[in-house]
Amino acid sequence: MNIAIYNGNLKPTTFVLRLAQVVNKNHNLCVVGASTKLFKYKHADISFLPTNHNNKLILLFQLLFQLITFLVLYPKIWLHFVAILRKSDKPILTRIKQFLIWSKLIRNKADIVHIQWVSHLILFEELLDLSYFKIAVSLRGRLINSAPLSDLNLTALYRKTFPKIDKFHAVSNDIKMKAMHYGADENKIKVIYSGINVSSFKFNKSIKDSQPDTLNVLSIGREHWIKGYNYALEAIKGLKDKGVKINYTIIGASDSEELVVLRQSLNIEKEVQLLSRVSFEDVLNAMKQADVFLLPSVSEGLANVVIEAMLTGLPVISSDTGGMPELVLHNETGLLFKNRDVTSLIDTVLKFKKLSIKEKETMIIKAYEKVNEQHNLKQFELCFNDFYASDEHNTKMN
Amino acid sequence: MKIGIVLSSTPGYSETFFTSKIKGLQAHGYKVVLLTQVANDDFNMCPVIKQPKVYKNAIIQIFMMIIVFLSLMPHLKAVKRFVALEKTQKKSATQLLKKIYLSSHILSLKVDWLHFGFATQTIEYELVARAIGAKMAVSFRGFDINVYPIKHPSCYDLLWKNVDKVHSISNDLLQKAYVHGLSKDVPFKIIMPAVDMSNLNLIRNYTSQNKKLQIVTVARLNWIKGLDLAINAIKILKDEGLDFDYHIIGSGTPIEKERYRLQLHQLQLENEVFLHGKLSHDDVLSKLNSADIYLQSSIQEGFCNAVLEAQALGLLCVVTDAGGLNENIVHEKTGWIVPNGAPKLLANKIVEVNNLSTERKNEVSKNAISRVKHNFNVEQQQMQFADFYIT
Repeated sequence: MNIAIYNGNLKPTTFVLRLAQVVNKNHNLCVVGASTKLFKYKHADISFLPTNHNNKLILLFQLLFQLITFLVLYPKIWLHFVAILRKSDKPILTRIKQFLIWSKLIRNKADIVHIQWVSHLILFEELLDLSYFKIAVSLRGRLINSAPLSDLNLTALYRKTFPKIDKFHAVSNDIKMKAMHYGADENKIKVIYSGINVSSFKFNKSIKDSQPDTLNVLSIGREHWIKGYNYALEAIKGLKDKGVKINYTIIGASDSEELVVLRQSLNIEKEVQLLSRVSFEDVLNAMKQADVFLLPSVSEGLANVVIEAMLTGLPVISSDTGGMPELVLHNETGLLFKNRDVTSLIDTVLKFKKLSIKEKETMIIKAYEKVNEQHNLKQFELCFNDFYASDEHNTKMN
Repeated sequence: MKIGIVLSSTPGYSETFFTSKIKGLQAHGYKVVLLTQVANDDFNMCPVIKQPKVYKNAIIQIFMMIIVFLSLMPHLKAVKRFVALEKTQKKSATQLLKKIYLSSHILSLKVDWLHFGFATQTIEYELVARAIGAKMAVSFRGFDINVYPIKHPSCYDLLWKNVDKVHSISNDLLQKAYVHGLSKDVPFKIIMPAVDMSNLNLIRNYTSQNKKLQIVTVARLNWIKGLDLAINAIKILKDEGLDFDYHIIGSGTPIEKERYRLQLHQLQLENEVFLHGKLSHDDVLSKLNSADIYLQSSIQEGFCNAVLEAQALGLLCVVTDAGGLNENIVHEKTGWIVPNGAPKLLANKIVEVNNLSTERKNEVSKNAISRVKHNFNVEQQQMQFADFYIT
């Protein structure tokens, strides 16, 4: 089966790379999106199909070429697409992109188009009632949890299109429930937890021997309000006031004006380090140095960085937002605090400090087992092959 | 005496701080000229000189540079002085040319004082006042001191060496400027914002307890306004069974709107809290007039005009102890100040204020109105600015 991964651009995410790794064996997988390249190419065993150029002049040439050649090859579909797009009231540039994307997918004989970013449904909504190819959509993070709350066009798009989508992939159960609010059919949503290559992590199952004088807390993630670092800083201030010796490092948020100023206002400049992004190796090193990983996010699909922390044997404290309770089982694989509640976070850190070494070790071992069971690459492979294969079956039936 | 005021754009009708300053200076016999990047057509209070534009097209840029440099010929003395001063800063030839081009509208000027409306505007222009033989003044606003130098330490080092007098809108900002390196020898004057009371309806009476409590905040949806805290406090009020509406008036970027929409959604406050976006000045006044409690939970504030206006309208103000807010409100006289960072304390204070006797509410309301009237009126502010350049 030909699977087209519509990515918006040709810079695949870690998720897409992993997907290519596991499904390519049974299917042809191709990453599709805008690019400065003009023709289909292969790189590191993955096919890439550029659909539209960012330069408007080149785009116009692309359109002319495609209009002529596609008319010759697929006259009926050509007429149909042109009729649909002439009726549409979208901006002309969007319609040009749509024609290029659709016709290239037809020419490459895509059986299923897997849309990575749900907002890109805007480019495919006209085709949902038709049977040119199946449409699958990934549901993840912000685009489901918060973006539609303030962008009413997005809400309308979801309401209109979700009931017509062939299948959804959700990164957590929580996201699945949220998608159902917009009219997605429960039976069409498959929760597939992200798979991770366990062997690239070294699990350290012993907690540092002597109770350290200073508690080293680590967070990793881009600078964005959704990561809830403002709440973490308030908690650090609260802990400092209670006499707790604490050192908090955030990797990836050095540019945040909000955090730099808040840190100064709260007078916790000595306790809090804001670092810029670092390499994967340095992330692993930082995890080795830390006593506990903190995820203060106000909203999450299911944070990969927590999976990684658990694989290195770092105990985890997380907010109870989104899909996090599906991985962080309170008192078992980690500790949860109430989302946006600074007092709850302070109490949870104090509780963590009081745990014995034995209790912490039990916790990280359980966390490691949970990740192995829920996020191993084999599981990911089986689930996704099944996800696509259920279509193969339907296609054959047709 | 002639004053050149440097601003990024000509002040709009509602930006009373600068318009009343200009009016006041003119009334006291000063000549005022504005130096801006953007000039709006409807501004006609005083002459405006625009800064030369930077063009993307290199050919146009070179052409414009030649024209600008030719126009500077009669002011060769000032340009020479400027070059000599800049050379002490070890600038390259290209940097120097760029600086002369961007400062040309000032270099061709003859004024007694060059007054920068914001401290951040002085960056890269610290030496131009000396080059034209003028004295240099600068105003501190919240962002100038509370935000910018925290992220860019020592950004004002050259300013501190060259400024002749500073104006701060609060004592708090002045003290922080000392921490950032301003010398205590530099003359200063604190001139706080003012409210034009003439078009405000000043009669307010807290009588009926029956109607739903109306709480209001006027603030951009920027993080510095601390709306996370305000909304978390409001959640506590709801959980305690209080019946109220909370109105947030102010513009925000799509990312900021998403932030607070999500918070309202997660805390199930979508029926109690209303994000109105930006409203006209009249609509803001009418919202304020129908409200009972004004809430300001900022993380940092220079002074905060919105709180001053709310007091002028006799609203019961509950604010955090952020920076200039401590000077804006007299605790328990014209409003209430609560320690920052604790939603529970904020919620408790709102309940406490709501439960006050009618007499006490009216007393605080009257205190607030009278303090603004006497200490923050436009005439007084204009007098202070007229004094600023001579004492």
